[in-house]
Formats: sequence, structure tokens, C-alpha cells
Amino acid sequence: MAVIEFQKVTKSYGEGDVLKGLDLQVEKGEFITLLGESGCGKTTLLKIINGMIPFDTGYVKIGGKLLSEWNIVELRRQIGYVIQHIGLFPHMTVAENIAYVLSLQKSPKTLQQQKAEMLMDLVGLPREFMPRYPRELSGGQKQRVGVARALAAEPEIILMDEPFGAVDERTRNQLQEEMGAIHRQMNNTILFVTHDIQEAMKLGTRVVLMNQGVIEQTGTPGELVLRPANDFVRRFLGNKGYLALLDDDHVSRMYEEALKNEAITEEIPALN
Amino acid sequence: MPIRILQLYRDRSDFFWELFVQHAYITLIAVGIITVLGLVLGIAMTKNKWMAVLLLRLTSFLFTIPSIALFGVLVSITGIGLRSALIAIILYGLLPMIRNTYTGLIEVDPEIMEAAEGMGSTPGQLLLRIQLPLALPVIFSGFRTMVVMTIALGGIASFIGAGGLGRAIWRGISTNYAEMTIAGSLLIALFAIITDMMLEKVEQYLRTHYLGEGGKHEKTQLHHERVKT
Repeated sequence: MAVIEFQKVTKSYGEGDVLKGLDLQVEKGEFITLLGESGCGKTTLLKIINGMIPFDTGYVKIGGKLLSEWNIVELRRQIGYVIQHIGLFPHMTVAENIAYVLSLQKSPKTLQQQKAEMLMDLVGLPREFMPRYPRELSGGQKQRVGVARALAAEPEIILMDEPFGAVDERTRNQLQEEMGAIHRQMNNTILFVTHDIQEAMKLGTRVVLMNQGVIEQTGTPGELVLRPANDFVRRFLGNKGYLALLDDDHVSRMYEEALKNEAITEEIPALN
Repeated sequence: MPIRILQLYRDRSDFFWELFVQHAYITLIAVGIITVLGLVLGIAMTKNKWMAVLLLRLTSFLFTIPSIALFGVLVSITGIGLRSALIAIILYGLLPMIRNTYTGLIEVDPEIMEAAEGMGSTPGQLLLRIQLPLALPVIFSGFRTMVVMTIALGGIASFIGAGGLGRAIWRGISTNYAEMTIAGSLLIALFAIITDMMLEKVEQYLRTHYLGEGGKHEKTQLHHERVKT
């Protein structure tokens, strides 16, 4: 059973539709990267899941239950949420930020402390940072706190809206590696919005490529590159010089993966 | 002249002490009521834009009425005494309190609000754990303005029989006794200044504690108005 299910979901903000009858099924343990240019509806899709944005028609199920049947506060506490500029609480220490959802649920203080310590280790922050305030942290450290904060309640689903957009490239690479490792370790379901093709390909077990409110193609990174569904996908990946950016290792890995999934049956025609 | 004022303080210390206690008492009641009312109204205004506009207009309008005129009007409605004085002081004090509460709350970074809401805060938790603490320095700045204003206005309240240090001023004027007028005025000024200095320390602490390094948020200083008398 799908953890998240979208059926013919539409959404408009007055002028023009942002989502035009969108279907999507997300299975447990998937790392979905939502890729597309700004305005394509990827952030809207993400924020419908935790009820931050209401949709117009169609239906959305989370954990097999219609979104409208959920108590929205309960649902949100079970979904990790990392937004673009992180939005750490400036009047709380790093530890308090991380344990925020636990404190909302009135968990015992010792449990909050333990959990915060564990998550500091997990996201690679030294524990002596715990009593510090967000303003004392660097950009990359803030993102790490943001990730740790989203993981605190051990959510089944984690929503991330371009979380690594505001850090330098080296830090971003590091954070991506760590995010991948965290996903492999925790095996939760992640939806990750990005407009960066490389990031989407690197992190996603499945990439959802969106354009003007519709999904153009969804598949493994290999499938998208080797078997683009239409001209848009070809152009989108091609225009960004994606293939040129890949190292050979990555390509052959994707190729094997695609073969395994029977996405392709013959030799790669597109390369060389 | 200064010597004679000091002599007056010495000779009539019981009298001045009694007036000071009355003054502090009036101030305390007024500040208490204004704080509660201002917070409640300020919070309610963030939920209702229409109400926000209306209340801000109304309190600004009240603020432009000279205090003597307002006292005069109130005396004809609610009579002479403490009640009229309190009503007038409260009406004036509401503006800085309401406006700073409202401004402080709506100026909280929307990113922070979104994160808190998306993580499953109830509306009450959002208000108590995120919005109010982050708005506290701004709210406190309005509180400080209001307290100093209330102390100063308390001096005039004595003219309609509310008691307090203003009585010394009034007695000085009506008996043509300048030293008495100055002695009363000085005590009110001293009361206001010392209170303001103490509140300033608290405000500085709140700023560094809740907003980070001091001085980074000078713009909120705009809400700290000049004292009206």
C-alpha cells in the first residue's frame, strides 16, 4: 500500500492552475526527488501533504487515510518538515530546536535530551553545540540542525523543500551524502524538492520531473536519463548538460540499475 | 530656591511619601489593566484585520486628544475621583501597548512560523512558544513607553481628585507656592526616569536573549515613543 497517494489533484491560486490533475503514488522507503523549474508546482505538491496548502479537487491519502480524515496537528507531528531557509527558532538552543516536536508532545525532558544527543551524532554535529543558539552557527550547521529537528519524532515521512539551497557547494555535497546515508539507515519515506538536476539524480531513488502542474516523467535517475518519456524530459536534462556533468561511474551505475528494472533492454544508444 | 525645595522635602517628608505611595498605587493599577487589555486586544488583532485597523485608528485618535480635555469630558460623565483618572490613563496607555503587541506578533519571520506550524504546533502553542517569545522585546518596548507615560499622566490625574504626586503641584499652583509645585514635579520626573532606567535594563536583556546581539534591531526602537503628558 502506498504511503502517499495523489489522485487527480488540482490546485489553482486564482490565475492559472498550479497542479493539473496530478497522480502520484509513493511507496514506503522511497527517496523521491521532485524536480522542475520554479513555478512547476513541486513545492505546492509537497505542502499539500502536510496540509500547509489546501488543494481544490481530487483526493490525497496519507497512510491509507484521506487527508481530510486526519487530525492535521497529529499528522504534522508524524511528518518531518524541512523548509528552504530552515526557520530555526532563534530563541531556542540547538537542543531545544531539535526536540521541539517532542516538547509539543510533552515527552519527558530526559528523553528529549537523549534524542537530541543521538540526532546530533547522526547529522554530524559536535554535542557541545547543543546549548548554543542558531545565530552562533554557520549555514551548513543550521541545515544540519534543521534535518535533525525533522527527524526527532521518528517520522515515517519527511518533506524537504530545497533544504540545501542556501549553502556553498562543498557543504551541499557533504549534506547530500549524509542525507543519503540517513535515508539508508532509517529507511523512511522522503520527498525532496529541488531544481538542481544533479541533486535530484544523486539523492532520488525515484525522480519525479514536473512541468507546469503535471508530471512529465517519474522513474529512477537511470530511466530518466536513458529513457526520457518525451521531448520535455530530453530537453530538460539535455539543456542542463546533465550527461556531460556525470562521471562515468555514475552513468554505468545508473545503467545497471535501469537494466535491473528492465527500463532498457539494449545497449545504451544515447551515450558516446 | 534649590535649598528651599530640599528643606521642603525634609520638613514635609510624610506628606510627600504619602503622595508617592498613592501615585505608585494608581500607576500599578493602570499598568496592570493596560497590560492585560493591550495584550488581549493586540493578539486578537492579529486574527482579524478589520479589527486591527479599527483599533489602531481608534487608539491613535484618542492619543491626539489633549489629556486635560479628556479629563474634563470624563469628569462630566464619570465624576471626580480615581475612576475617571484611571479611565483616562488607561485610554492613553492602550495605544503603545496594543500597537507594539500587534506589530511584534505580525513581524515574526514567516519562515519561522511556517516551520513551527508545519511541525504540528497547535494555534495556542504557536502563540505561546513561538510568536509571543519572539515578539517579547517589541512588546516590552511598548510596555516601557506605557509605564513612563502612565507615571507622567498620573500627575495630571490628581487635578480631578485622584491623589498622587500631582496634588503637590496642584497645591503649589493654587496657593502660589512655587517650591511646592517644583518639588512635586521633580518627584514625578524622578519616579518616571528611575522606572524607565530599570525597564531599559530589562529590555536590553530581552533583546540580547531573544533577538541576538543588541543593536541589530534598532528599527523596533521606532515604537518607543516620546512620553506624552
